[in-house]
Amino acid sequence: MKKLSYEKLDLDIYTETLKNGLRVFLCKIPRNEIHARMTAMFGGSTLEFKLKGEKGFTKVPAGIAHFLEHKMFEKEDYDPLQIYERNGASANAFTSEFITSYHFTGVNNFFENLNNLLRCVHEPYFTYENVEKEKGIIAQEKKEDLDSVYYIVHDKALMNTFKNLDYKNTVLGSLEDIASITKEDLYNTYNTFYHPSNMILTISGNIDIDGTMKFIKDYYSRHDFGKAKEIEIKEKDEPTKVVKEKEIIYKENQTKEIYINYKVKKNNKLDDRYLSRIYMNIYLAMKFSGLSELSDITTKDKNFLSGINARMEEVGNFYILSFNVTVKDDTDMAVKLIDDTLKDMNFDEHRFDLIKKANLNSLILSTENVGEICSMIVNQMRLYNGLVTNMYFKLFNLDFDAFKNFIKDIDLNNRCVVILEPKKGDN
Amino acid sequence: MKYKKFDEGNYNLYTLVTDRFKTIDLRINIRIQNERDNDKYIPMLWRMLVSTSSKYDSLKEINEAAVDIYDPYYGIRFIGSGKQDVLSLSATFVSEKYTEKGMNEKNIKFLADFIFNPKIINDGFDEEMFEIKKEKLIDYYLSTKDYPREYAESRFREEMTFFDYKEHSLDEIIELTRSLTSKELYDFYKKVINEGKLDIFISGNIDPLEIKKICERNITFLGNYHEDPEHVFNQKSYNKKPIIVIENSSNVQSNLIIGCKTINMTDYERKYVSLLYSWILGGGMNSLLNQTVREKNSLCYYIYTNRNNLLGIFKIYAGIDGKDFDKVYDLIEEEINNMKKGNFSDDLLESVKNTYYNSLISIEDHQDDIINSFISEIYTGADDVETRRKMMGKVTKEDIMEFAKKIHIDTVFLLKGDRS
Repeated sequence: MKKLSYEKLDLDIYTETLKNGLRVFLCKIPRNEIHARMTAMFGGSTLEFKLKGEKGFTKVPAGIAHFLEHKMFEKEDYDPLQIYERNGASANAFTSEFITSYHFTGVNNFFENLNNLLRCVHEPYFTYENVEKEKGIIAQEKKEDLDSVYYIVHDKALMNTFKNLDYKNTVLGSLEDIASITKEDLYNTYNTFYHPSNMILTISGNIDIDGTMKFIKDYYSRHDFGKAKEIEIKEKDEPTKVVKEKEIIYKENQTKEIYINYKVKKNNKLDDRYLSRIYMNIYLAMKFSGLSELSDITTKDKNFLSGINARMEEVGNFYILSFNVTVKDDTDMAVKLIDDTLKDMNFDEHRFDLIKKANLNSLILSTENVGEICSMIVNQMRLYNGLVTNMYFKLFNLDFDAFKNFIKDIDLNNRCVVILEPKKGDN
Repeated sequence: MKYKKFDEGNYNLYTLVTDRFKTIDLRINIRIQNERDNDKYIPMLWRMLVSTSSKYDSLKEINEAAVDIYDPYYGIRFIGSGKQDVLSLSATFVSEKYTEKGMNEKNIKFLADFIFNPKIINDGFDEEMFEIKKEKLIDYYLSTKDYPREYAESRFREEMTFFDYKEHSLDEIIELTRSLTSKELYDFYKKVINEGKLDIFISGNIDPLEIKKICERNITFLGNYHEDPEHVFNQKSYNKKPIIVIENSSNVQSNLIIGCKTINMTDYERKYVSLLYSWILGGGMNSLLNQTVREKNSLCYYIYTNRNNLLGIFKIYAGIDGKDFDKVYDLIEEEINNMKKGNFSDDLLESVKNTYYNSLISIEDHQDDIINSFISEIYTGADDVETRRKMMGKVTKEDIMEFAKKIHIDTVFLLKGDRS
């Protein structure tokens, strides 16, 4: 077991990769509760894959990762949620575009809960009947999104941004995708992605480090998952151009909803991916956070019924800069304001320093919560394949000129705009 | 954890010392008695308080000032709590041990100014910002229909009577907001200050005496000391034949809300039995409603109960297909009857008790829970944590069955989706 310390954050992580390839991260902090999270490095944006040595790629319907997440709680002769509840623990799971996580938080019977978590992710039980039953439940989950103005524009923008990458599908899939999923799809997917070597176990809170690691090793000494096979994800070329630059959707609605994706080819100026992401996020914060001029504009202009939400995600070789806003009347003005603001390459050093300070504060706050610590570790493993233990000083030492140099040449000419307009007359 | 109460004359300051966190939590609460017309002022008041300042000219400047003192997280809201409306500022900031000496005081002053030192011009709130906020608030009300769950809740509140009076409808609220002036809003603010009961809570790795001095230096509260406003509202009647309202919409999903009233609830039931009732019926995934409506019949993704023990109100929420309404309603009714008959397992009862015990232990892990738990003791007469544990252990199945008989479906609202 190796000890890694996050500098300046009073946070020590004990880590070990087990013989079967499972990566384990343990963190003790002064709390009564313990949060444990088992993460499969597989999410909603992977739909064609195979294990090394297999002939062809398996193609599965969109929504498979999320469907699998639901079904992992179903067992032949016991109910994992009942065990958690009996121990007074809360448990849940979630699926993103990139990962699927199963987790619990509790204060008592930790080892029984942990054993339950490990069984939950390693004992699939899919039947025709229980798969069909789940379709009704997941369809209702999807229907809520179909009524959400945010998801309507968000989901359409994904489809209009990506031509080939499976990221264009929503994590839940469409109602048709959900209806088409079979138990064979689920077993195929499970057998590919749920080997311990493709998983990460993170635990934080009131734990005995040695005792917990011993328990985990004992569990896996009793369960042989076979040799890990390399997973191959089908590579798909993605054009730089978006699929459709503008689309208007009509719906019975009172307001207008806008979603914009800028598809920005990575400039590869930096080898340090952590720093690259920080720069991109600072770029958005400089222009769109509460510290920007824009916060006063959107507060005072009666056309804006919400602030402009900006976020960044890395997808393949692209940064996707996404913007969402609700307006009363003038969509053109809002789209132009976002575009002009983003393309304005003048930056204020004082604001840069303030954002740095705010980021340092967020960093400290993120180490206060047992769940957030686990999230941080999983994200760093997914993005950087290692922990960024010096992230405090990376942030502290951010340099304004280096930031400007990184940002200055990015190409902001590929974007798609989706607008939801109130239905009127015959549209 | 140690707590101390300081009597500051016209308000009380409570310090809760714990060394488990890198942060300090602050809560400033001013409680007033709930009245029907408060709805006219409340949504505008917190919006004005949180976005204007007597010291800074714009929101950007406020935000810059916040980051300059290491970016406290803060929010201001009015919270309906039984018969009280609570103007509440809650904030978390990093302890000065991790930032710079003097930051605790700077944060407390910065945050307290939102409540005690608002931007007032000519005996009214800043006119320009007031008019902007007012128009945006009206637009927000008008767009409620775009958000099905929110709209269903708002319509449900129009149909069900919670207090001695009928709450304003959305249309009435819009008209009241339109007619509101910045001077009237300022008069309401003065009423909150003059007639409200102020309490300040601070938790974290703090020196209570130092915090007391900081508050005395930086908080000027001009109101008087008041006794606690009434808190619990006892429901006196219910619709013997439940009112069922179905409204059509162009949504895909239908949003169902079932409102129940509790008559003659005892203090013991309000504090303990009602919680177990709510969790067994519609708390976790193994609750009766989840097992029956979701797992056995695949009729929904979400179904859960919501308990307001100060008002004696239970609500059941579900997202369903409109065509399944009758079936879902029958199943829910059946499970409500099962609660009366005691048709739930001892294991389930033990599970929800264990969840409760764990939640008590977890209080110490979250500063907002530490403050909330303490507030519930002061405001609603909740027992201390150890007593809570003992009392909950004594609740029997028979207590829950007896309590279940006091619960009656009063109002049902379905926002029916018909878009395929």
